[in-house]
Amino acid sequence: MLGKLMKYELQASAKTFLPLYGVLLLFAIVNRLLFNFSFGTLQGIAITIYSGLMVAIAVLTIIVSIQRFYKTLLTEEGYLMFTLPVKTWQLVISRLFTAMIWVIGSGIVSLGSILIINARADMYESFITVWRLVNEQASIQGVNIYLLGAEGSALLFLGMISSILLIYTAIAIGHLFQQRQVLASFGAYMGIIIVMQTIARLFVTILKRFNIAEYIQNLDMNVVTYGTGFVFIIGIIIWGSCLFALTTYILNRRLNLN
Amino acid sequence: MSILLETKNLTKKFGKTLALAGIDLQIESGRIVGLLGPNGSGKTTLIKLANGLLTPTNGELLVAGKQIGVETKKVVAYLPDKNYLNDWMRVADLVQFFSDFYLDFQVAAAEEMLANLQIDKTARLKSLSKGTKEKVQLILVMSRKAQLYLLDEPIAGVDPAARDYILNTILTNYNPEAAVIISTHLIADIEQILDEVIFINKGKITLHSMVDVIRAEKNMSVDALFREEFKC
Repeated sequence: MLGKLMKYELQASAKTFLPLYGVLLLFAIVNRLLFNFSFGTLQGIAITIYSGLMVAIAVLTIIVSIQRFYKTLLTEEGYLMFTLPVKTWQLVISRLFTAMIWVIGSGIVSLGSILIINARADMYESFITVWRLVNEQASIQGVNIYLLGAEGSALLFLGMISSILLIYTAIAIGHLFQQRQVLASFGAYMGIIIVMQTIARLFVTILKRFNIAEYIQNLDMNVVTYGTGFVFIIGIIIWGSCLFALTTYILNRRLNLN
Repeated sequence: MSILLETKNLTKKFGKTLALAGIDLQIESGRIVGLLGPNGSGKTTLIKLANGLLTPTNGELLVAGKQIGVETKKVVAYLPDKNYLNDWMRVADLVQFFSDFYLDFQVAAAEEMLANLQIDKTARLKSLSKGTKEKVQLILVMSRKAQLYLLDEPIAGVDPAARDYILNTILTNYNPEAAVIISTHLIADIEQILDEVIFINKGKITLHSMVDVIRAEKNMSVDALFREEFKC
């Protein structure tokens, strides 16, 4: 059922994203070609449109992931979704995964368009050179760049997931109110951030109390580097799970579609 | 015969407004039931509660003996009183959507009804008129072999000819294992197909009776009785 839900979510949002991706790549190519000839005004217009498209895609990726969650679950379309024989968590996760696919998709397409604009014959060689330099530096410093890269990517990925979940949770909390639901959602968003910061501060205080700094100083540098990332990853997973559980709980047990 | 819908002291408040005031109800299989009441009487609230779209403030509600959840949603076919389908989808996509999610959906039945009502399967929903949209929704819902059909104002927006076709469809889909609950205030139009009626007013059930009994005992039609009961 999750697969079917995602199929329809992807179809619905693809109508927005795919044409935009196409136009962005097209304008990247146009800009690249114009560089060869140096048409002053024309080039200015093309680069302005391209930049505008980049911003539009970034903004739309965020807005569409919020809007799909709200519109398909908490407006008229919710009548269809919540009467399907599927679990509430599947409804939430299908929207979350679809949003992540577009976040990653927008990232890849934007990067791709930058590569197109800067395309040169020797680009591949330049990449190899940069990669070799990075590797050299890493071995001098004694850093495992694969491990560090994996941790960094995991942090980025999980960070995006929990940011989206935070918005979902705020919308779900807003739904608990009879009136001024949008205002309540904004309030909930701020409230959750304050709660999160308080928990983080409390955590730091506890660590200080146990003289953790002294303990860390005696550790191997590598353990500190990778360990910190690992602790953050675990923290984000726990935090994201709480947000997911709260959202699902509200939609499951406190749903009141008007 | 089994009980398909059962409520015990079912209460729903919206803020301070009492929409349902402790309703006790049992609907058995093999019946077509009219849920009749003036605007704002609690008809839609009751149907939405049975679909899990609202959370009860108090009391209990069981569908086919189970709490509202995936298992009850598998056996309930629901027609809401608003456009709830994705506007951008074509009629054929919607048929596919329903057959993807509901195991009891019969594609052949849906296609036959669409053909009979001359609805273009390749048309996008957003290009259809209000009445045609309602017909599409009803066809999708009635193409399921469900146990409990909950139809909220199924004929309000369609022309009289289509109205007859729709009522006929409900009758031909009649299945001794299933029950159909139709909420409406267009009583005269549906009276001939009803086995049982429930009058609801201000969140309370004021009458729950077989149609034959009303005709025999009070010597009047359901429509006439309704007009008398809810006189303004």
